[in-house]
Amino acid sequence: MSAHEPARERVRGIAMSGLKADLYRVLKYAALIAWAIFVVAPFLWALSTSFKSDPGVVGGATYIPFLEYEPTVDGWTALFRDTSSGGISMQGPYLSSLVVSLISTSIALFLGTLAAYGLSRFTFRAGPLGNNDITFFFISQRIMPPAVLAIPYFLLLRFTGLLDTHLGLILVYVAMLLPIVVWVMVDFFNTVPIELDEAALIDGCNPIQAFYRIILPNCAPGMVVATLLCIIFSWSDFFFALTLTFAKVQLLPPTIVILNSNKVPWWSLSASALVSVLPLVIIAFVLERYLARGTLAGVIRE
Amino acid sequence: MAEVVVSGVFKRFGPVAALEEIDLTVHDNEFVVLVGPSGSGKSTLLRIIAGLERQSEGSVAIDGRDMAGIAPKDRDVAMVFQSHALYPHMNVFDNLAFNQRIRGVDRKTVDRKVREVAERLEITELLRRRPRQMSGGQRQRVAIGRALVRDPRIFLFDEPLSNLDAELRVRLRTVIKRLHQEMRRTSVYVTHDQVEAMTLADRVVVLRDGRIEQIGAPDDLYERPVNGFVAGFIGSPAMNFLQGTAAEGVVRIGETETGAAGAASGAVIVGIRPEDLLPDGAADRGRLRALVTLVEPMGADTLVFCTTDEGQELTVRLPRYTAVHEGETLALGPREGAVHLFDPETGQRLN
Repeated sequence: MSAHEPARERVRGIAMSGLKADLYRVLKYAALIAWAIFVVAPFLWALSTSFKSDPGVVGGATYIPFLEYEPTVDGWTALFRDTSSGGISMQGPYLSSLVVSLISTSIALFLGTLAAYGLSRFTFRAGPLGNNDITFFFISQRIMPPAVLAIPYFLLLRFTGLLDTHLGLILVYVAMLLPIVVWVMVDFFNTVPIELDEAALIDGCNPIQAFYRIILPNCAPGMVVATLLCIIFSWSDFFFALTLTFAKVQLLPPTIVILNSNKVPWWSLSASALVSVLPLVIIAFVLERYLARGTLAGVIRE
Repeated sequence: MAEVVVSGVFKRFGPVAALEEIDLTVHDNEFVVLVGPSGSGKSTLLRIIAGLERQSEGSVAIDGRDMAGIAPKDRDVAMVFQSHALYPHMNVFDNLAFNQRIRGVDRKTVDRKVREVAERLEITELLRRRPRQMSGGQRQRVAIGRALVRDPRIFLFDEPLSNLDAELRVRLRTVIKRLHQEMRRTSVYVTHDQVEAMTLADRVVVLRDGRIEQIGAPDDLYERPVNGFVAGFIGSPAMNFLQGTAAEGVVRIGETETGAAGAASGAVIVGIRPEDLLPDGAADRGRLRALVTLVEPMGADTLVFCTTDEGQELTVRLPRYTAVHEGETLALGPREGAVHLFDPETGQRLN
C-alpha cells in the first residue's frame, strides 16, 4: 500500500501540471482570439458594408446581411463602372499602382542588394568617410518626414518634366525604398562569412557568380523581408502619389481617399478598400513561411 | 608539375607590415607547412598564393607563370578553410560537385568524381546531408573532399584542423598525410600548431612578425634551430633555456660545466630539450641540481618540472618507468652534443 503511495503522488503531480498546462493553453488561445477579432473585425465590417446601400448605412450600425439590411452588389460593380455612370473606374488606378510598386520594388531590390553586398564585403574610403558612413547615408534619407521631401521632389520632377508620370513616381519610390533594402540586406550579408565568397572564388566563380550562386541564396530570408517592406510601402503610399501625380497618372490610394469628398459612397469605399488590401494579403501568405524560417530559425547559424 | 615560387613579397596593411621580404620556393609534390604564432603572417602568405589577397610588392609564380592579375579561379588551386566554408544551402553532394559544375564538367564525370572522393573519405552516407546537419569533423572531411574533387595543381590548407577537438585533429591529420602520400600533390599548409607542422611537413617554414625565421626539414628545425625563437617554438614541451657563460669551448650553467662546441664566449643562452636532460647518478658536483616540483605522467613518458638551485625552471622528459616524486632532487646532465647555444642579445645560434 505504502509502496504505491509515491507513484500515486506522482500521478497527481502530472495531473496537476496537466491542468496548469490546460489553463495556460486556454488563456493563450483566448488572448489570440481577442487579438484576431480586433484585427479582423474591421475587415468583416468593411465586407458587410460593401454590400449595403443607403438605408443600410444611414439608419445606424447594421452588420448581418438579409437580416438587418438588404444586400446589393452595387458597391462592387461601381468599382468598375465609368465615372459618368456613377462608378469609380478603379481598373486604371489599380493597374497604375501595381506597375509603379512592382517596378520600383524590383529596381530598389536590384540596386539595394548590390549596394549592400558591396558595403558588406569591400572597404570604401573617401577621405575620413568609410563603409559605415555610406550605410548611414543611405539610412539617413529616411530620417526626413515625407512632408519635407514632397516640395523638393515636386520641384525636381517639374524641372525634369517627370511630374505626373509613372517614371517620376517610380524614381521617387526607388529613392525611398533603397535605404530600406540596403539596411536590411547589409545586415543579412554580414551574417554570411566571407570565407564562403572566397571558397566560391577558388572553386571557380567570378565575383558575380559567387554573389548570386552562393551568397544571395543564403540571404533569401533577407530578400523576402526587403521585398515585403518595399511592396507594402510603395503599394500603400498615399502622400507622394497625391502630391506628385494628379491627372494623367492616378494611383489607387488617392483614388480611394477622394471617394470621401462630398457624398460618401460607403459601400464602394469599403469594396475598394478590400480590393486594395488584397495583393498584400496574397503576398503575406506566399512569403510567410520564408519569413518565419528566416527570422526564427536563423539564417545560416551553425 | 606544380612549383610555387614566392619572391620578394611584402604585404602592408596601411603602415603595418604583415609580410616582409618573403622568398620561398615550394617544390613539385612537396608538402610545405607554414607555422608561426598568430600575427606572424602565415595565413596572409597563403592567401596571397591563392590570389585572395594581393601582395604590396614582389611576385608569386606557379610553374614559372607570374600570377599577377590572375583570379583565384584560374590559378588551379584548391583551398581548405579553417571554418570549412561549406555552402550552407547545398547538400554535401552539391558542395562537392559545385566546382566541377561551374567549370562546365559534364554530369556523368561530376557524378563519378564526387562518388570516388566520397568513398575515399568515407562520407558517402553523408552525401544527402546539409552542412548544418553534420559534426565538425564530418564537415571538415567534406571540405577536404571539395578540394580533392578539383584535383588541382596545388592544395592550400588554412588551419584546417584548428576548430576541431584534439582527438579528431589527430585523426584528420593522419587522413591528410595519407592523402598526400597517395596523391603527391604540391601542398601548402598553414598552422599555428608545431606538432601538425612537424608531423605533416616535408619542409617547415617558421614565420614570426611577417618574416621567415627558418626553413628546413622537421628534423633540421628540431636539431639545429637557427635562433632562440625557432628553438622555443618547435618542440613540445618547449626547449629549456638557461643562462650560462661560455669560455674556451666550455659552457658553465651555475655550478655545472658542460663541453659545447663553438667559439662562443661570454654570456650565452643555453638551450636543452626536455628529453636531452638525463638524470645520471647521484647529485654530485658538475651536475645540474634541480628540485622536482611537479610530475606529469603522460603514459609513454613522464614530464618532470623542476627548479634549479639558481632558481631557473626546467622541464625534463623521462622514460615512463622512472620513479620520480615531488620534492626529490635530481642531478641532471645534458646529453652529449645536444646543447644549443644562443646569443642573449640577438637570439642567433652560436654553436
